[in-house]
Amino acid sequence: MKPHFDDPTFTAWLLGEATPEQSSAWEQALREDAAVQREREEAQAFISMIERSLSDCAPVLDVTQRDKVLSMARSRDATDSPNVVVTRGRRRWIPWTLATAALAMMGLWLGSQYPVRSRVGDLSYSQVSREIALLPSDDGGFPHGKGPASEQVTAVGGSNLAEKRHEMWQRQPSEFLRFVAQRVAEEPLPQSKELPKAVPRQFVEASDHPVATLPTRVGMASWSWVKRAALEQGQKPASNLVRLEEWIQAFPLQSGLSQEADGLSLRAAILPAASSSNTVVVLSLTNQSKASQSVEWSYMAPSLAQYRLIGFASAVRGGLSSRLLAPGEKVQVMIEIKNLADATFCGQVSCRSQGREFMLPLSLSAIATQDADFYRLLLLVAANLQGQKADLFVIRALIEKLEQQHLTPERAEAIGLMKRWF
Amino acid sequence: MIVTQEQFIQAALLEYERPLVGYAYGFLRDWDRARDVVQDTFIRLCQQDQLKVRDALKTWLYTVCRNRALDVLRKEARMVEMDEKKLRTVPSEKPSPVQAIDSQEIRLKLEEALSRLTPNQKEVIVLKFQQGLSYEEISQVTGLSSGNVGFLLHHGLKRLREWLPREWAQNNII
Repeated sequence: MKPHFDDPTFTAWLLGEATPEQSSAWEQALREDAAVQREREEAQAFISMIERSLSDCAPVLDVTQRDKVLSMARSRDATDSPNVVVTRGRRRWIPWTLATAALAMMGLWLGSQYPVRSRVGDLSYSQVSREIALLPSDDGGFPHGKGPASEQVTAVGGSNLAEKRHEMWQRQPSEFLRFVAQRVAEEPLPQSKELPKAVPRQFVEASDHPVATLPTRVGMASWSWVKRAALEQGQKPASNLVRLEEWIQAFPLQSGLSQEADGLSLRAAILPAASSSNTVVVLSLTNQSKASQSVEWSYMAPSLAQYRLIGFASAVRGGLSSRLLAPGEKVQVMIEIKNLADATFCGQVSCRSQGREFMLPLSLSAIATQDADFYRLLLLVAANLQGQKADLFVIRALIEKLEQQHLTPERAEAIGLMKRWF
Repeated sequence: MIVTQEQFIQAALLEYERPLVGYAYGFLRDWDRARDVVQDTFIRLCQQDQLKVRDALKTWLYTVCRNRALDVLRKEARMVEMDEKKLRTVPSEKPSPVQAIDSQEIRLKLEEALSRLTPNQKEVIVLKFQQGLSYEEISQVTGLSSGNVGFLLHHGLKRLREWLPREWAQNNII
């Protein structure tokens, strides 16, 4: 077959829209003619460029518009049953009318009791998502350092629902959190005044706290907010929307040291801190088994060192604490360490589940290039957005370096976003 | 699975709200009007029996959104004499989020090149590469035959490749 690149079946073939006969004709031409190979590569590169550049940056409906649509849907629910085909016989409308009127009355009554948009169990979506978003995380009992008072929870509404929330998390924590994250993504960005005062955690002495229990529950709203601030408002996010401890949940650790036992996987990567000679350790714990597991993981610091959990101090206690990891659930934390006596050893992590324990020593061999670069970039960008000093030259160099590498879609998206800011 | 109309609409909003706003913007060049059109599209969806539309929800939404956007354009054309060239170059009332980000300059150049295509070519390219519709779905939304969609897409792409710098694609610039 002599290839004619003017033939629309060529584009259809590239796009997977050709018939089997057309596809096999082009595949044969590809085998026989190097020009087809060249043209295919060029056309595919061009198509990828078009797809990337047309990728969706559109805003969503505003809250009023969406509420209007949903209230229309609700009123339809109140007056009709769309999944039931109703035969409209003589006087059959009477029981339906009475039933829908009763339902509407009940709906109005419930609405007055719980003025919310939608519900999961006894919790409203909007209430829950705001609460989760505002609660930075359960710190699992990680020691607090000296310094300003810890952040207090100022969740919007519903603090008396802690028990219910706790039950839901215990039942299906990962699904619940994923669902909540999705809802957070749909909600209007919170106003700065709604967010609690951000107080970074202070360093603690290893001599005072040789072992620190790590959290198993970390919020995840911040990265979603930051992306939306950029895409919907075309601007850098407000500083108190930036929560590094939540950002890292969106970017799973891929390499570094690892240790697995009883369906649990522990990973670690070590990198330099954003703007000091300190060391940062990224730790990741995943439940790879098919059942929920009750786990306890902790960090053992080298003697004489000082360390802190990266993120804001949290005074959340009770109701939120959970050591249960659902199947497939992952939690990641970052610890900053200073005054290391031995620069090649950063302590160790231990993980206990079902009465068994395994450990992962944190030696410098845990340094992984892409992970280290990527998390260092996150540290620097977060510091910059929070108004701290961060070397823009290093940020740009890291962006450029990471761009050359094969990245997961989430990381590639993050790099694209950071390029807009820096 | 039995779902309420509210759940059905919420799921549809989640999946199609943003892509539809982008699609409507392609016609109207104004985010506010695009959102109005999409709101109207979803209100119409609320009025539908979900059993009738859910199997072809995507094409239903794109078709209604397209028709609403064209209605708006027609209404405006009656109010203000506006030839197509003017229509393509009319600035939006406020800078879009995309425009507000300076690194989007290349995208603007692509949009300029897209505006030089015939309306049909531009529309099938947007539906294919921005909205990810198949030839068959584009055919249902636009009323063009599937063969015609392939023809328009092929020749539209060819023209864009002629107009846009070759190195953009080769160097992965965007």
